[in-house]
Parts: sequence; C-alpha cells; structure tokens
Amino acid sequence: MQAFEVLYRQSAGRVFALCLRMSRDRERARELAHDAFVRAWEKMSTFRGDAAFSTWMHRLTVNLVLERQRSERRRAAHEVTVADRGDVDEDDAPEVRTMLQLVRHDEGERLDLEAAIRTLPPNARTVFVLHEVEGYQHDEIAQSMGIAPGTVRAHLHRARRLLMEYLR
Amino acid sequence: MMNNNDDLQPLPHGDSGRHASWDQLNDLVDHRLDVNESRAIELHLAECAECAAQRAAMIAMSVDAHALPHDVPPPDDLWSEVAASIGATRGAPRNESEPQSALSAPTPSTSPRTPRTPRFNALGDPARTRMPGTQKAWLAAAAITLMALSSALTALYLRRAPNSAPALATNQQPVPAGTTLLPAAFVETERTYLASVAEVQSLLDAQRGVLAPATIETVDRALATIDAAIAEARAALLADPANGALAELLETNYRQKLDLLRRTAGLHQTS
Repeated sequence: MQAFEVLYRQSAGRVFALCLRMSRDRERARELAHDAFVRAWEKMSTFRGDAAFSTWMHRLTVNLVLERQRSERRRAAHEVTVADRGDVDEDDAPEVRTMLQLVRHDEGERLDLEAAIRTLPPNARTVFVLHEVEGYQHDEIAQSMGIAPGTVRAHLHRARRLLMEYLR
Repeated sequence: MMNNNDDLQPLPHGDSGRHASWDQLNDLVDHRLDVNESRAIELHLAECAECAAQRAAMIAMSVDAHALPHDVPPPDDLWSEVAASIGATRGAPRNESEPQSALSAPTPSTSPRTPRTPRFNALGDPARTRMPGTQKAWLAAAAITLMALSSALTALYLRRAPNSAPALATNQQPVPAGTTLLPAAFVETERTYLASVAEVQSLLDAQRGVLAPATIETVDRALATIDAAIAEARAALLADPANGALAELLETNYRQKLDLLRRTAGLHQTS
C-alpha cells in the first residue's frame, strides 16, 4: 500500500488534470480520479513494466473516463427521448451557452484557452483534449471512443472552429 | 479537394471558391493531406494572407493546447479515499484470472505521442481485453514496490539535478556534454534526436518571418520549458546511467520537442 501511494503521488496530478479537463467538474473529476486509481490497483497484475507506470496509468484513466461518458450518455438516452441528431454533439448546448456568457462577461479576465475548452460540447471537447492536449492520434481516439476516424476528424475541426470563435 | 462540409458558421473570409476550406486547413495542420494536396494549399497560402493567418492561428492554438498544464493538484484527501477503497479489496492487488470487462486496462506502451503501436484496447474486443491469468498477487505487489522505488529514485535524482545543468536558452539545442557517460544504448538515440531536432529547427527558423509573433512567442516559451526538462532529465541520467526510467524520461522529452517543432514547421508526413 505504501508503495502504491508513492505511485499515486507521482501520477495523481496528471490523472486529476486529465479527469478535470474531460469532465469540466471538479467533484466529478475527483470521482473519476478515485475510480481510476482503484482500478489501477485492481489491475496492477496486468502491468507488464514495459512502459512507465505514469503512461500506463494515463491510458487507464482515459479509458475509464470514456467508459463513464458512454454509460452516462446511454442512461441519458433512456431518460430523454430525442430524435437522432447525427454524430455532432449537442448534449449540453444550453449549458455551453450559459458558460460562454459567463466567460464572456467576466470583466478583466482574458478568455483563455482553458476556459474556452470547457465551453465545448462533450465529444468535441474529448477529441480536442485527447488530440491537442494529450497528443493522441486520430486512430487511437477513434478506437478508444468507438467512433469512426472521420467522426474524430469532424469533432476536432468543429472544436477548433468553436474555440477560435470564442477566443476571437 | 474542397471539403466544405462544415455545418457551422462560415469562416471569416467565407468565400470557399477563393479560399482553402476549413477542413483543408485543419487537415494541412494535422498532416493528413497527401503531398499534392498539401503542395496546392501551401501555394495558395503563400498568396492568401487570410488563409495563412487562419493556419497560423490554428497552429498557435495547437501549441497553446499542448502547453497547457498537464498536472493539477488533486484534492488533499483524495489519497485517503483511494486508500480506503483499496483497503476494502483486502490489501493486495487482485489477481486478474477472470475474463475482463468490456473496457480493459490499457496496454502499456510508450509515450502518448509516439505513433508506434495501438495505445488503447479496442472497445468490445475480447481478444485484446483478456488478462493473463496466472500471475500471483504477491508478484503484482512486488512490481508495485519496484516501480515505486524506481519512481522515488527518479524523483530524488530530478530534485538533485536542477542546478547541475542550467536550463537551456530558448530554441537552443541541448549541449550533449558528457555523452560518453550516458548509457551506450542511449547515445545513439540522443544523437538521432539531436540530428532530427537540428534539421527541423533550421527549417522552422527559416519560417520565422512568416509566423505570427504570438505563435513564435508561444513556441519559444514551450521550447524553453521542454529544454529545461531535457537538461534536468539528462543530468539525472548522467548521475544514474543505469536507470532505465530516466532514459525513458529523457527520450520522451526529446520526442516532445521534436513533435512540437514538427507541428510548428508543418513537417509531419501524412500518416
């Protein structure tokens, strides 16, 4: 347990940053980071040691966050009957608009990229964070999200356009 | 190829007949166009200030995004919660002998930026999500201990190292002093990276006149950060040449620098 705590101390900052960026919510990020470390503990026997623990942990966290996002969306789909609106995210457009207004009216505060990323729709945000911040490739993201590479590309292009509009 | 399939507001310049499309500019930045397409758009950008500015802004945002902090301190009491949950699993990592759930732990590989092998397990791919079933829990615990020891040593070396190798000035190559003391296997790796970095950097330097000042400033700032990390990791590796984790850390830093330079210079080959 003490040894695992050393590993936790080494990688917790990166894990939490990833969870925070992907979830936009500090409390949710806390839950995700917690679950990621518990899962890492449970699956430690699968760690083969041919990569840094932090790398393994990072990927485990990405997978866990995406897994949770999918199940939340499945649950939401059961709760809310909506027409099929294609692969473009629209999930929380009202929330996005509200956040954007808040950011734009935050006098004296420069609209920074971090804040702008938080305003993106979920899929666009996920793709942008994984590609531009974390450095994953289109194919990797497509595989992990269970979507086509072309859809990843569309989300990324859309994210960039939204961000540039917000930051203009 | 004009990809005007955007469903969003038009670009500021709007005229898709005279300008590169948004998708084309994105694909150019992401190095997803073939040679002929890239050349055609580059020719257009050489004559179109609006499209060139769009591309520059896109690159600047990409560089800014990659430079965002990758570490955010978690809540102070998160570890106690994790420890409590782990304690509920009776103290030792579970022996994964049962078939795994739909989404498995990721396959350990190299840095996320290294385009070598698949990073994630495919969703719903049982062949890739099955765990080795014979490992003993005590082996896993021993692995944790070894990793923790290695991590602690790395941290210790890195704490000792900062003053032994000064941070490199912006856009300067790390000086490979003491190369002969590096692990033999790493000497060639470093030489290769330095040659690639020098090559890309010379091309980037030649492009500086056409890059936006804000982009140059952002890139220089990111390079300075990476160079400082390279200097630290290198000093640590010189102090402990047998430490594979430090070699990996240094290689990752070199890779990040090369990737940043390539992104900025637009030199990645279409994958």
